Amino acid sequence: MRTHDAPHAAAQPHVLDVADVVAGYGKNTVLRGVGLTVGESELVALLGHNGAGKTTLLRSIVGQVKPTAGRVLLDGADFTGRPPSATAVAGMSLVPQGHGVFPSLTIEENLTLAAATGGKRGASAATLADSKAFAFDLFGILKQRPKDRAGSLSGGQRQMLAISMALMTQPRLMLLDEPSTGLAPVLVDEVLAAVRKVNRELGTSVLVVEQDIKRVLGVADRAYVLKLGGLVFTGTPAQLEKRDWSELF
Amino acid sequence: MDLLLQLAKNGAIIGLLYGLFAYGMSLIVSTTGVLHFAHGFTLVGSAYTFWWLFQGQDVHPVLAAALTLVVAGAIGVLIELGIYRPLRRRKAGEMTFLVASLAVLTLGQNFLVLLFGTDPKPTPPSEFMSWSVSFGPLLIRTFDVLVIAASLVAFVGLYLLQTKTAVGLSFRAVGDNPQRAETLGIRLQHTYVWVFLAGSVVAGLPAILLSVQNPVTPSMGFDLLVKAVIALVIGGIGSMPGALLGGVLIGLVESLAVYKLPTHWAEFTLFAVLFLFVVVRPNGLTRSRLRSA
Repeated sequence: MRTHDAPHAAAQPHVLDVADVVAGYGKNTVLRGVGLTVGESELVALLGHNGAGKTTLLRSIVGQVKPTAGRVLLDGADFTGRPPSATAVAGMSLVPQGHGVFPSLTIEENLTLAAATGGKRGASAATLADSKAFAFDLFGILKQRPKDRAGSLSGGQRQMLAISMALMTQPRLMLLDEPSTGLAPVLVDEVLAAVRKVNRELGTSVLVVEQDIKRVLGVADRAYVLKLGGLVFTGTPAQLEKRDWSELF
Repeated sequence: MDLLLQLAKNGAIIGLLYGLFAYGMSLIVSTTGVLHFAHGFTLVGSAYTFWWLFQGQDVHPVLAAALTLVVAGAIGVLIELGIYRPLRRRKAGEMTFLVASLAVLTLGQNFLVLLFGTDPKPTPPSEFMSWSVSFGPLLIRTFDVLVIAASLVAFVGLYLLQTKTAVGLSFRAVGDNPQRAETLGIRLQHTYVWVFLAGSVVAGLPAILLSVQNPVTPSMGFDLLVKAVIALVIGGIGSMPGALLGGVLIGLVESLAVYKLPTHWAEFTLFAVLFLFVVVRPNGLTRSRLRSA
């Protein structure tokens, strides 16, 4: 577990600042005034039961769901209700649950497309080559089979490719929605270790939604717990460990 | 036997044009999810454009062909911007898109009748188009060479577009998962415009080539649309080899049917083959990539 004696968020401006967001689907309000922050180079976990509103919050941040109230700021700029293509170009990169790759494209094509369309469109060839090398270093299996269609990959390999695609966009903020879903425990460790490496070595801020609480707390700087559309905990993993989890989850 | 070979060659050549037209439509359908029956209007509108430029305005055929491709692309883009985009904004259902698409085809076809009448519009025979050379029993004409060259350029071009360029890769990505494509920064509305442009320009090629071979008629868009739909049912939507195979198969069936059967049985034979495919292989020769609009 990382040390938390000097939280990043207090000293530096927030990369992501979500304030009092109310959002849902039609008349069904899922989020009832949720606020959270992700600081520079910070890895933040968003926890909670099924139906607590975690995915809706991620979708509200990237613009897939339009909040009816509240604000979403990236580096201080207001992106509330902006479309996903705009938040992506601004530097938010979502790795959605289960469907993060394009099955009919090869591994290489998925990475090429992500580099060409997402995030920093003006990134130099050298920067993109560095990102690709970093991704291949993280997930060697992808390097071995660049011509394979993403649709033929296993669940774990797809997740690795989806994270690599996010890397190719040179994101300011990477948002991962339950990266461990459907993966064997050994793969969960590998994927979370890769996320931590991205966060530490590239300084990318990360907000990760995860069901595997123990494992994600092992890599997170801070955690939020969401229950029935409202926050019930904010603090460090160490503080969360001391709480009565039956109240929170 | 010689006649059979010649019929097979003719069928394969016309089938290439069916395949080209079908693939342009298939590209649009698999990327946008819209059953773009108005593609038939793109074809007939382009065919009349070529005929009008070449025959009516005495424009050099090469320039007329180039201008026709521009018009073909413009027709497709205008249909996307003027019809489908507003429907998408209103979150219209698939049936609405289908009816709107058929309406564009019908209205457009009738508009051409108002402008040019119903009588067929032939292009005059030329020395260039009359050239031919024999390979044993096979007679190869200028038309055959032009169709093969146009198909080669179009299919190779579309293949490279979709494997080597960001915009082409985004066609396939949006066809796979539009929501995910958006979160990668792909603007769906831009992608739709590009795919309508690409698919419609491709429709311009059979429009031009059919115009120099046969008289232009208002119903040719609908006729070719029916064949494209059959080609896609047989070959599979979103697949280049599928559209090509489906188109060539239809061309061969149409052409070879008249070897033993009266000519009016050609269509019956075509639909019999379609029926057979629907029963035996409902998903087509290749797996279709079809999503909702």
